[in-house]
Amino acid sequence: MTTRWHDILTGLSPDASGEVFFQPASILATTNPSGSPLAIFLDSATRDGLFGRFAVPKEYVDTAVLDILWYTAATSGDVDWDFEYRANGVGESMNQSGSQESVTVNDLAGTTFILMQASISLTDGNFAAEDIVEFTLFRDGVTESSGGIAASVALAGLFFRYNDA
Amino acid sequence: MAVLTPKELTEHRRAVENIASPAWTKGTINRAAQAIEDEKAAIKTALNVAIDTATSPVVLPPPVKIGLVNYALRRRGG
Repeated sequence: MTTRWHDILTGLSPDASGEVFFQPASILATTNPSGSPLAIFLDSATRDGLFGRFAVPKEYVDTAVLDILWYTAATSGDVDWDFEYRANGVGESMNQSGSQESVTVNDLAGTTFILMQASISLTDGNFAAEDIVEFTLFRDGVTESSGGIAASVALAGLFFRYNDA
Repeated sequence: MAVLTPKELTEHRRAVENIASPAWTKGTINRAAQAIEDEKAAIKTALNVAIDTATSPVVLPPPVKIGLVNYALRRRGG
């Protein structure tokens, strides 16, 4: 059994809120020369999302975890990440309402621009090898309330972690 | 005094988030923004009286007073 990380930070699309968008990393972290696109979640009072989709790897067995890698210029406050998804295999309807599971994690800002990791355990039985997973990752500006980070938050990485056989 | 809406509070927070690495939370800026809002009417009245006293017997038109105050507040170090 080996723990594996599946990069799911691909093929993403912001919701219609206007509070989530992509920009070169160098705009937020100004000494970073990278021009690679970075998903930015603005400080807001709303729950703003980023849509995505990935395939569950063939080697998947169990211990499903979502790892969210993020950073911010702020040194105080917290961020609320919500993750909603539905996993479908061949033969299952792709036209179902609602999510299969909705999970939340709260993480604290630390040193400015330090890469942080927030992890959420997912329900193993919801996934099967080669399922298509459609998800939305939210920054929840409603539940962050007064203790929330008063700045933008950048999504630097998103991984589906699991154990193989 | 008006109670600022969540959207207005968000706009205030965004206005200052790039000035320095925020070592404060949303609630801190929210309270500062609301305090400014609460004092705004009293400050406007005080400035109006001060300008009229200084220029008496001349009374400057309101747009001129507003222009002067805006310039003074936006001036570097203002």
